[in-house]
Amino acid sequence: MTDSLAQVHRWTPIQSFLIRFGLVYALDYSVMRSYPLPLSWSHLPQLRLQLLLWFATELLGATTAEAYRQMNFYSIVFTAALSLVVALVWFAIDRARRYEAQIHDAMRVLARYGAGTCMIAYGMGKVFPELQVNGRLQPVNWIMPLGQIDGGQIVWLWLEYSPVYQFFVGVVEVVAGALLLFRRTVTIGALLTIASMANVVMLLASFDKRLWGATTPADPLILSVFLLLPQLRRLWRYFFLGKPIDPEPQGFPWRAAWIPQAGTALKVASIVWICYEHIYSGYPRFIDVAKRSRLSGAYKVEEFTLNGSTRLPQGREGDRWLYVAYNDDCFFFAVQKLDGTMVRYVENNVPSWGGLRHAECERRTAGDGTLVLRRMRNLHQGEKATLMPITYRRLSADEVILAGTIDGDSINARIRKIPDEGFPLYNSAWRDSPTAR
Amino acid sequence: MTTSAISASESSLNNRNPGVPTDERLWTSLRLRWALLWVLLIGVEGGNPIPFGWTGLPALLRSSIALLLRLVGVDEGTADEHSALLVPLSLAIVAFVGAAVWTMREQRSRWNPQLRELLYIALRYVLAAELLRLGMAKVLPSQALPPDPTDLIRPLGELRGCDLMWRWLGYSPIYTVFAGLPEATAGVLLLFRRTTTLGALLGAGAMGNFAVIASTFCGSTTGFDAGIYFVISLILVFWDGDGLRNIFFLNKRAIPATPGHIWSAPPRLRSVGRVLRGFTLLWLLNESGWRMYQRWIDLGAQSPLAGVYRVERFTRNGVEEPFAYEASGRWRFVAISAYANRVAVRTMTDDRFDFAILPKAHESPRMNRDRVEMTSPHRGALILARGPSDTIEFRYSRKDNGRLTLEGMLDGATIVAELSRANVEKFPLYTAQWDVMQRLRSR
Repeated sequence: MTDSLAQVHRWTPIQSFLIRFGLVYALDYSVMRSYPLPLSWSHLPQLRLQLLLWFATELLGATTAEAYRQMNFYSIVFTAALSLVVALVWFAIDRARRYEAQIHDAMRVLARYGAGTCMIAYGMGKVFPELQVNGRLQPVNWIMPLGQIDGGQIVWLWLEYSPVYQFFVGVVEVVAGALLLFRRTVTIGALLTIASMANVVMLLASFDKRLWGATTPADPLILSVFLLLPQLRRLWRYFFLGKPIDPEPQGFPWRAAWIPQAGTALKVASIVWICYEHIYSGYPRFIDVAKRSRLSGAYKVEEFTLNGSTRLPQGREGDRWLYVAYNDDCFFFAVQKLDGTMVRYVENNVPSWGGLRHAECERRTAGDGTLVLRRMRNLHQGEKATLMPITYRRLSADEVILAGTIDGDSINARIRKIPDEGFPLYNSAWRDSPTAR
Repeated sequence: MTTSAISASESSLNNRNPGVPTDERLWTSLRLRWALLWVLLIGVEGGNPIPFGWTGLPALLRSSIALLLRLVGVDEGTADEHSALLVPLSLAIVAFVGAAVWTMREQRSRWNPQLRELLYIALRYVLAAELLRLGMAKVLPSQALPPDPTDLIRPLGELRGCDLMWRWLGYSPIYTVFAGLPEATAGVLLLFRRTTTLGALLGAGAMGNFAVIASTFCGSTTGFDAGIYFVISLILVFWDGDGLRNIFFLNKRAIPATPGHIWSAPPRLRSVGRVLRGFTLLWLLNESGWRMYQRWIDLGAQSPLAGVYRVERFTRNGVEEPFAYEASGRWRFVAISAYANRVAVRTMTDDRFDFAILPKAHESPRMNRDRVEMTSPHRGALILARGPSDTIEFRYSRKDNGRLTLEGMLDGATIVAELSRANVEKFPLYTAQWDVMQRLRSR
């Protein structure tokens, strides 16, 4: 069977070009995302990032900030352009084309492992929710009028609402990824990946253009299309014409005996790494998500003074605070004013991403203290955020006094917590979910 | 339940084989009849593929189920609340009793291949009709709509999970169409024998996903309704289980298991079957195509009163109330829904009042357009209802610059509210897709 593929299958020039294109695409993807194995030690991902930034800024005319913001979009364009150029050159130089079966096999292995491990990683982040979602819809969102929420937020709010649905989506992604790791099940794995990722890409693209450029997971989708393309004729015959189909020829086109052993080693290493990354290493973060700030919740503002006066000056009546909310992880603090505007702040002293911030947050908010807030907005280069310390003092279990200077005004507010269960949106799964132990 | 019945029946379907023991053939007959009766009852109750409302059958079926539930001690409230769960379960019990009686009276199993064929047809058409209905309601978005003006001023915490789910689905018309395409495609594929397996696979994915979404956002009983159709999809997927296993897991030669025509009926009876099929297809085209299109067009109507308003001036019994938290009863925002059938008011302390605008519209293809026409004059009266017997008349006066005045008696006081319309495009939630869809409808 070793040479049967190379001998039996006659490769057309288009096929020869496509397998080269696919191999370079899958290789670049593996370097970029460190799937199926981590490559950060080799400095290759950093080198590739520099190349990508040069490509986006010099050839496509983007600013560095734009390139970072729309990283995934530029990355896909870069990978496609790189693959096109390399495949064309390779195709032109290699006239003999004696190793088509090997190139095809290498492309499929890389695409399978790249897409498979990536899908498992996506899925594990939902099966064991880590940092992207907090195990429940956050209090800041409860007080936000629907009109004040943008499309990009709606996508995540919807997923955060139901831990059970999130788990279900995660399981589908993990199963799709796992099926891609085996030659026999690659077709069903690719179909599941395409269905799952097409949904996510469409969701992000139609809800928020910016979000699409920033986070779209189009790569596993593209790699799965590579994997499925050779199967289309068979699938068409079976599912549309109702005719029997023969098994897909699965040869092993390598002569050297060490290659199958290396393949098995790669498979084991990928699986071990992905398990380590998302179960062993991710578990402390998963446990951390269950912890919540002691101040977390939505509050009604019962008394409010602005610059020492309960009666607000003419023209600023709408600035009175109506609601205040603080998230589980101490990150977001939001105010809804009487005129309906929402102002969001972030806690300056809490790491925005990574680390076990829930546990630290729970410990810090156990007694009375100070929140150091800053406005939630992107800062210009060199600009420093204005920090606004605000003290909180508990009068009772659900009553708190806030005092400080925010946006240039001295404020003093007595706020009362609205019970979580008092919101119609409250979902008992937030209490019962594994992250809320 | 039914899945195992079918798979087991498949294994012993070749019951013309005299070697199969009589008990096993009987058991197969019972399960086959049970599954057939159950899916027929599901179809009649759900109006799939053809509603039999005019025959009184669905009403009779529902009354029988209600009676059955009362007999076993389920009170009316519980029965209503959990109807999505209790109705299919009751139908399964009724079908089992019917199948048992049928099998006792007619023990011969020589009709099993025909019953199997009938079951295959019934499963396909019942599922296809449901998928086409759900899919086309998304392809021509009428099931989930963009958030209404009354939603824009509502804190997210006031929504229920189910409200959130529908607002989420309706937010982006592009995504709504995308979500409907697999369902509608599956529905079409199920109408043809050759493509049934692919339709069932797509249907299983769509209905499985919908069942999980519905049960986690709207409660388990709602999800159960979708779950029934998921089960039907699975039965059809397992019908071709050997072929699918060979393609997707074993990489062996795969032969489609589509049953062939097995009727030895006279040509006249075959013609009746063809006419029936043609009629069903025409019916589905009308229900999921033309009527859905009419509804989609009708949903494009928008009252000139619709929008979110800021209350600029508010007087109660001639005394102006200031824009301050202490004036707790003063109105802060007013929102009028797109079809002028609801008004939402938020006060300074963020208390919420919801009113329905009467009269309620009757179901018709011009339902919303008729309502909207009622509010097209610049001056008129709105009958607001807080409850069945609590109605208030408010006069309105509308100017073209987005100003609106409402005047009426509320809780014994004369209220005059001067409103100015907020620009919806300024809301962060706004997406240009809403306007594109609106323009498409207007054409």
